[in-house]
Amino acid sequence: MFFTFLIHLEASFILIGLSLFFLLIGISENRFENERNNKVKSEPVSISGRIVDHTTGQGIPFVTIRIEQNKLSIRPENPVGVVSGSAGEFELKVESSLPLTLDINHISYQKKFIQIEDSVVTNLVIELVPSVMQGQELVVVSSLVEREQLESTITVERISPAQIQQVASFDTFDLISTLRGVDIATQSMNLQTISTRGFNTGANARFLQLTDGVDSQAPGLGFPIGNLLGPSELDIASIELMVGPASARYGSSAMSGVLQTETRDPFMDRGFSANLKGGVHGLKLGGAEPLAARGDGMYDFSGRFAHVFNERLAIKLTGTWIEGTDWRANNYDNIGWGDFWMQRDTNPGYNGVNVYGDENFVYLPVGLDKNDNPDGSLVPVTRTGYREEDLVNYDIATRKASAALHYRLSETATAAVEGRYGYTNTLYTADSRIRLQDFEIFQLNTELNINEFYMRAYTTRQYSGSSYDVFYLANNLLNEAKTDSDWFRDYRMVYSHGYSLLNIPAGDARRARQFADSAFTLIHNRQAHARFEPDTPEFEEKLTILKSTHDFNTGAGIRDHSQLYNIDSGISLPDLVDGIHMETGINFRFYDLDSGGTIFPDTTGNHITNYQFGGFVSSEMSLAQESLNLNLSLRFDKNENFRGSLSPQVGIGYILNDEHFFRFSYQYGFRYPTVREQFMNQNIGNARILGGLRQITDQYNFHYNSITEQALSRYNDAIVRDMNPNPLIHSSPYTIEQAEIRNLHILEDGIIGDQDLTPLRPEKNHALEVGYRHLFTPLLYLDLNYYVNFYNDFIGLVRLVKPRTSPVLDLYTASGQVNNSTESDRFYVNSNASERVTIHGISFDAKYQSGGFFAGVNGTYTRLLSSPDDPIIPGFNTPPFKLNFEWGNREIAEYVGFKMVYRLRTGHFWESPFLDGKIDTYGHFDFQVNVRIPKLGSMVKAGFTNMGVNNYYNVYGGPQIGSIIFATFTYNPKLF
Amino acid sequence: MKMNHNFQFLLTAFFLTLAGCSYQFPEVDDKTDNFEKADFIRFYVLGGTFSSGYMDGALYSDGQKYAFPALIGKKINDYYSEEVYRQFLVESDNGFNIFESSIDNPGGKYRLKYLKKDDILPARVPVNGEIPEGWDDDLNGVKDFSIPGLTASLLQKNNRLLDNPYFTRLPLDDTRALIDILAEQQIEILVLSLGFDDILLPAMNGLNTINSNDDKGWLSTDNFKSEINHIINSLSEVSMPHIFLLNIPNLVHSPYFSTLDIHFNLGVDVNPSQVAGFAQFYSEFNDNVFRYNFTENGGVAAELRRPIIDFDVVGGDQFRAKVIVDETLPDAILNDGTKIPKIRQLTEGEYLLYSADEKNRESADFGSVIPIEDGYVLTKAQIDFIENKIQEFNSVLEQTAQERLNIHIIDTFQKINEIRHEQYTAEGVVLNTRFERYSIYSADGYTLNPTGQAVVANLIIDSLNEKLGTSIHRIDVSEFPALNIENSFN
Repeated sequence: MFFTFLIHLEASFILIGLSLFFLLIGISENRFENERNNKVKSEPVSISGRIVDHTTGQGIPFVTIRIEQNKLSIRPENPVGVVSGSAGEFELKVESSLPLTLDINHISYQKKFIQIEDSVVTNLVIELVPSVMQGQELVVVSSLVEREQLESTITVERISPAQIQQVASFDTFDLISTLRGVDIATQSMNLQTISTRGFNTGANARFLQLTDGVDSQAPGLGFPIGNLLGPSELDIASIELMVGPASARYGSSAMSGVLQTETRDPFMDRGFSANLKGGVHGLKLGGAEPLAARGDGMYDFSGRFAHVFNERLAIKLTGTWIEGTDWRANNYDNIGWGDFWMQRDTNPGYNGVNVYGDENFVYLPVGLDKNDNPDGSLVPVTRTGYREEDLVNYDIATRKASAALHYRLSETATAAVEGRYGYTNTLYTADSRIRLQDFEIFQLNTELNINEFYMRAYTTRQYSGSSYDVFYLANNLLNEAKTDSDWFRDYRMVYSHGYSLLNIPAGDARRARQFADSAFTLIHNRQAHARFEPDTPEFEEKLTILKSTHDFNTGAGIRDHSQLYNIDSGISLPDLVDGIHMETGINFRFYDLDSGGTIFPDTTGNHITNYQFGGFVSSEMSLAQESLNLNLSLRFDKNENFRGSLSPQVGIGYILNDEHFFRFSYQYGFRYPTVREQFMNQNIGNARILGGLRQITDQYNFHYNSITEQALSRYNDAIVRDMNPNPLIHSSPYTIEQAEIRNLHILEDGIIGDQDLTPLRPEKNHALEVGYRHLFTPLLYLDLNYYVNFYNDFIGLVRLVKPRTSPVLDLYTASGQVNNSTESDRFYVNSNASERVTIHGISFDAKYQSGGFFAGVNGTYTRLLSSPDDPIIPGFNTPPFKLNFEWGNREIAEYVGFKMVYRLRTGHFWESPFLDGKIDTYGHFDFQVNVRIPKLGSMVKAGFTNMGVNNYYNVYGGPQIGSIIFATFTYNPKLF
Repeated sequence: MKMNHNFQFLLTAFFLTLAGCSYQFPEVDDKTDNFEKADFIRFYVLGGTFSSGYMDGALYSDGQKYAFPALIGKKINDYYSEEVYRQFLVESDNGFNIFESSIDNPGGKYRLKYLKKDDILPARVPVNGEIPEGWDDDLNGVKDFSIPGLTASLLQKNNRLLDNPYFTRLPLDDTRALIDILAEQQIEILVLSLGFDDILLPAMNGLNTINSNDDKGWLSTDNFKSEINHIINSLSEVSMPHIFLLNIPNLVHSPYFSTLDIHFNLGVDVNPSQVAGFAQFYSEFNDNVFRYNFTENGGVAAELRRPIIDFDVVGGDQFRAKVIVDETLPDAILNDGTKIPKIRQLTEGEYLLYSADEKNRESADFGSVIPIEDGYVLTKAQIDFIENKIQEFNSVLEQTAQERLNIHIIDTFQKINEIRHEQYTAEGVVLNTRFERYSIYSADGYTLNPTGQAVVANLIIDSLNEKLGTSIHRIDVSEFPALNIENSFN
């Protein structure tokens, strides 16, 4: 009965949404009629004109002109209105009673209200005054920043449509990486993920990404999927980035920041617009022809169409089609035994960064002395792996489409239904290297706004398509030919004794490998196959089979059809208490995981679901003659598997002399583990990642049977020291066996005991931030802040090695197994840090603007403070220092603009379940020049990203990012 | 009214969602053993050192609990939820080590230790032991009659005549033979392990009283066959039990026999000047041999020639091979009456037993200027003799099984040989038969450690499942301790 319900849950949910929509339409018929009857009768109203700058007289684009409704609505995108075009022109046609009030709004200008009394108004010229602040003796005028932003008690960054137009990158999403405090993980050409305040990863569960209030996370992945489901740049009205904890308002997944993207309202932004981009990377000049050039190309076509059928019904259709060739992850540095430059031909322990299948190793006596003669020393021999480029297709694709139906129920109420669809072929790097092939994601959202109230219900469902795990692909390909244990035994025996039948002498590591890779085996009654070599029909045939096999014991296919359902509702109460603006809201979320046992332990008959709900109340008030702003929030959340928690937040803003804006905020936040962190049970080739719920971990009996990787690392280091004593000490070396025995206590200290690996708890965070904002002149703005976050029960991965023999039972035997991958298993278990993890940092943001010229520089310095004894690997993955510098001119000549960006990221160490390694310092220039063609209502832009700089990567093991030369043609008659 | 209905629908859906969110984790796979196909209350074990849990040179409590019969017995007890299987427990932490004891100072189990930094091999160091105390518990329920040192022939002897501390501590009727006592039990299943001690005890002493042509003092193959038949017939008089008969592993491949190098290691055991000294020491001996072989009286036939003792600094291992006494060498007397000692250097394929390790460490004279006595050595002929004996005994056991449907062979010989060739993998761990990590042998070098016991237990479990139709899960071999080695220095 229960499962029947679950199976039909999705259909029920959609029905709920649709019935909500049509119910409200039904309700609205009466209500709308009543309103009409109760009020003066509406009539067609037509208003057209131009918005201009009061000081310069120039037209102002992107000004929102709407009929005034709710000044303090928590859903501000509700009203009826339009946005001005590139020259400031606008035309608004509505059914309305007269008189009506137009609300004229722009980020850089003072808000203005104009009353309209006639039904037809033409050539209306509205002058806007740049934002003005009245000091005691000083009048500061600024087009750089809104007053609201100056007074905000949190760090907030905003991107306007004008900035989107000027982006100097192929991908608009790249613009976000130039904001203060933002780290980007580039996993693929068409997939970047964002982090703020540290802990950068390809799967950041501490960062919330909303599009029109809808969470863009993939339910089975548990993290925002960057630009795979987001809106096309043509449909973006604004982007707002809240840097730092916001979980008291947005819930547990907003621990380190929130990115809110608002799309354009079809009632206000109507008509057709399109965008065509083309780009080339990896460009190589020359070749057979003197003027020939060769490179990998990509193109991006986007379109948007919005139409209003009458004053009540509007539709919006958007679509994006991206295809191209991806960056390649082709770092072949050795991360195994020996120096980084040693390759397979000289190093039996070679383990390449982007070579897979060579992670497993067995210590064998194949070492050489200084004269390259065998000396019997132990070397961790690895199998002959496969390069990533042999295993994956680097063609990428993103296809996005959305359709929205907006219906005005009344002058103050709107209902909307929106469906979003995303399709992609890409690669992402999180726990493993995953090829998303024919990956699809659907989102259906229904929403109702009535005055200050809103209610939203949405569902997101992902289909993994033909996706596969590249690690598994390599490992199972090798095992199809010969199992690890057989391969290592063949290698060992042939190396030790030779193989006279094939004239292989003993002690020849290269030929021992050839034998082990061949179809021969020394194991009785075993069948073996020669290693499948790339570019052979057998290899391709095997790949096809493995990719489509959804069982990691024998294949690499990923199945994940997980879905989430979310209902949230809120209301703004500006008048409930005099002088206090209050908001309150509730939400309920339900996850229905479906990976067929490939990621979660949801095998047949074992259905996994998870729910959580919460509610908040916040208030905002001004004291001391509006020089002191106080912001208080309180939120309660409860997850099915964890106790309910309260998270309070207090923000204080103080305005000194109306020109110095100080801010302080404190938040006690928490984060529930994501469904992955709770339930995951996935083998990633070199390890198995486990969720931290006891029901997941208990079956592996870690306590007293496993050892932390840190202890193992210290143990191995100590052995090397004992075997190679410092010559100055005049101590004779220990043999390897003696050194092992001598240092067993190190391993013993690392044995997981009762006090370790306790049941997973929510992560808590005390976040403190102080900041200062100041406008030196109307043209120069500065924002400084310092923040410190104290994490308790920080959720990270504990890396464990579980030898076959319990170290408590026989430590000596176990100590031999921990360094051999066929004799021990590695686990990455989601768990809480036993000690406090602290991050702190300081950042600045300075902007200058004069006429069309603009320049900005921002920088962030941040550090992690954590105990090296804590077995948790925090994965901070953040450059200690990052700097963004941009400058340009929107109108350096008539219709011509340009922008240049320089980004610097200092080197840091990257830690992830996939790979650990050093990311070097990198910096790169981006440049674009654009020409508007008003006659065609278009703009042409050309530029390059990362010009003249060596390839770099910002995810260790991820793709090497190179230069892109791109050109863009945008058709938007309203703007250009 | 319309709105109310829709609102109720929404509320119902919401609460149904909440009610439906009760995920139950699946139960872990049930691994309960099923013994119901046979009556394991009447499961018995009869054997000697091999099945007793004797390990590390002694019988002690921790070792006994890992004996392969005890590992199966634990499963039986778990199945029946009562102690239907019992051993003659010794209740001793360190046991009694016959080979390391004096009257005043009983030795206990061995521990393997590197005594100094440049040691290549660990030494067997006995701890203090305890003489086995009398077993005064109730005999009722004791199913395991494994007694260290119990040879096939002793089973039929009057118990009073047995001089075995592990036997004499038991409250058995000393006027009767053990086999007669056992025959009275209603045995349904019997694990029988005999013949191991008949081979082990003489082999451990280097077979010093026996040469390849003389098996005087050994249980002959015919007698072994006779003893086995008698035992089986006696046990079958009352009932017709299923007998699971363990054959004998090849003892000479265990580390006690095959670990020590037969030669000095240059730079480790000896330095070049010492080797030169040894060569000088044997120059007169070698002159005499040369004279005997080739010059005096025209020399002797090739088969009567005596080998010289050749120490050579620049030679390989064979030119630093240790010198042993070999009484099987033909007599050699020179014309002047000089009797050439019966000594020679060890050759490849011969064994220097681990009992020589202590003397080895004491002085480089041992095996150089002081020839090693035969008791520390197995020559090729002796190795062949022992291996032939094992082969013959195993043939007897095989033939016995073929003649009776109720007797099933447990092939420990093959399994341990497989491990010796590193063809046996336990959960990815390649076991071996050396004095190394992952060995199946204990610190004495000739009995199995818990890992080895678990391997044998699995052999028996496989056979029980096959022959009796039981459903007993195999034991995870890697969950048992293996060989432990320590440093005696920091």
